[in-house]
Amino acid sequence: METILSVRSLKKEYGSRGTRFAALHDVDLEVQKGEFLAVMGPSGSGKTTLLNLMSTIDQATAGEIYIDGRNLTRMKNGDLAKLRRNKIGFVFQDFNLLDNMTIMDNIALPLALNKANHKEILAAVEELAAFFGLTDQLHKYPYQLSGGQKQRAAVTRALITKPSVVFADEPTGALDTKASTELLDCLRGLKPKYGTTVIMVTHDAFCASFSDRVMFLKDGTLHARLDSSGSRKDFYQKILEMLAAMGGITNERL
Amino acid sequence: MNAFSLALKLFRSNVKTYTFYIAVMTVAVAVYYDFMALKHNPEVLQTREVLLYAKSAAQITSVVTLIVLVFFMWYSSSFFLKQRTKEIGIYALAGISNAKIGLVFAVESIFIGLTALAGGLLFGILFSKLFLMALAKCTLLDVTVPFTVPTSAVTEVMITFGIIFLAL
Repeated sequence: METILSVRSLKKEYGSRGTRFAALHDVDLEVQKGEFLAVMGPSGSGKTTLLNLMSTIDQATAGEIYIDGRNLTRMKNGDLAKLRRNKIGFVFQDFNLLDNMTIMDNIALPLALNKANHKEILAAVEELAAFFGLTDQLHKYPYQLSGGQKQRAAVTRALITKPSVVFADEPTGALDTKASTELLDCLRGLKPKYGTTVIMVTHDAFCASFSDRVMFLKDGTLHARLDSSGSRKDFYQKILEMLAAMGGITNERL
Repeated sequence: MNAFSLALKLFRSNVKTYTFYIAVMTVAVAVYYDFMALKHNPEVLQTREVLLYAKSAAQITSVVTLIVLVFFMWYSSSFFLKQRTKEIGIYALAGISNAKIGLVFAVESIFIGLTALAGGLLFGILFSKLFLMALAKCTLLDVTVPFTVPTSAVTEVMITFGIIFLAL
């Protein structure tokens, strides 16, 4: 298996001199191609910070991040834009679709700005939309869709450029259980079909149980890791136990 | 799809948001045109000195209109931009460079400017005769005002607003 993303002794500090606070320190991480990784941890543990750093949204204080062998921390703005366009997809909790465009245009946006051929764009959009069950929704506007459909549209947009890595920040945060399950099943189905790596931040053990591997963050460092044995139910139990052992936040869910 | 066609698409879908803004600018351009038409009207230029007062008054009014308009546009364009920070973020994440995002927004505001300019000139020309007739009535002059479209007035309006739109 080849490594798609690696993080070396990453550090991120917030605040100015005197009131410095390290949100992340000494984080080392390797992610294999096609892996579905979940990052968990209590609020304030730095999971979103880690995701923002890996996805080029934010800049690290120290340490290195490599995507496909290229060092992010030394890149200029123009190169970063190119990297975002070709290698990275984003999914957010609140969908971030453009309200004044149809789902079709929303999904096609990243491709359209890559100056791809019109027919190729249409074909690519239709293929992915079929995979996510959005074929009938393509000509509607975001406000006409349910939350689950909107999030699937957002994932489709993230995938349209065939990125190496998709970053998802609490993708199921605004969805109910059924829509969450559908979405997570789709994310899991990406690996055999497109070989896409997915890195997902979540605080929900149920969500995390869909992944191949869970990394637990606590107070800005990687605290533990759990690998899926294949059975989701066992994995879910193990994650819950781990959270409880960490001074769990999800005890109320038991 | 390049920056131009994206800007055109955005302009079309955002026209509703901008309706009021465009309406205000159209009226402003029309008013400005009417004053300019007065300044350049051949009939007016020939009449007696009484109208010199009217002419200078017209010039002052047009300058005041311009100043108010510049501030109005300045404020509202920054307001619109603030409303759309989320949209800009989405473009950035889709991998569009900052320069290109800027270009898209610049082209879009040029579309808005052109719409307002064209609409304003149209209304201004349509109402210029009415405006001059009203002025003649007010100043108790017995002149019949023919309907003219002084090209010098049109060019002056276009140049002035062209500069303003580009500068903002």
